[in-house]
Amino acid sequence: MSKLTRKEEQKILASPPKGTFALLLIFAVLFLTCWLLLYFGRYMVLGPVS
Amino acid sequence: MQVAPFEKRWTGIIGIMVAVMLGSILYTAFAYHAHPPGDVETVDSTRLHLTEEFREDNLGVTTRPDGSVLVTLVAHRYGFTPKHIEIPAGKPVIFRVATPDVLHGLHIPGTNINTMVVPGYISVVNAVINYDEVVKYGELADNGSVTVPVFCNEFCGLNHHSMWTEVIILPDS
Repeated sequence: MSKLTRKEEQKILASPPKGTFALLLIFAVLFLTCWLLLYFGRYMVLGPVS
Repeated sequence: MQVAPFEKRWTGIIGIMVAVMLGSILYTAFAYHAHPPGDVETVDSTRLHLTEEFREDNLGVTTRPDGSVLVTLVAHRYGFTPKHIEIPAGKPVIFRVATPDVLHGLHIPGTNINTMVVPGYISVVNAVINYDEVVKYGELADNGSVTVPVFCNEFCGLNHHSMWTEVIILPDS
């Protein structure tokens, strides 16, 4: 059972989703780092082709 | 329409991610000419051996006056002609490959040379081979040259698995 009061619950529900945003931010940083590593560290290092 | 501040921020982050990735691709396309081939060259596959460029004695490696290397190859069931190919690393190399029969592929591990060879078309790949990368995939000889396998990576028939050859990569002079 939740020990939060009705007022506290309302406050949480009305506040922005900071935790979700933090998770998305971590995902964005990891995704971009991995992409750059693959592109410059694995693909371009083999020599450019056209 | 009301957009929550966090949603606006996330949209901005997505925009930055797309800009960084697109910027990297555009930068390498202009600075290193890393992009898909732009020309489409056709050839009559049934008369390939009669053409000037793909006649058997004209196949192989040619060094051009500007220092670049031209490699003319024929991919056929089940092999590549000519058999002996020596390419210098660190110099611009142009592969021109055609086939007289069915669809083939050309893949050299340790490089980004990887193309389909479609009947009726000449596959052109411009590349610069990185010796330090190729040496990880090939067999290093005493004189510093590296023998790398070349594979057909498009299923071309019952003996597709035996369609491979070798290319010798010479160290940067």
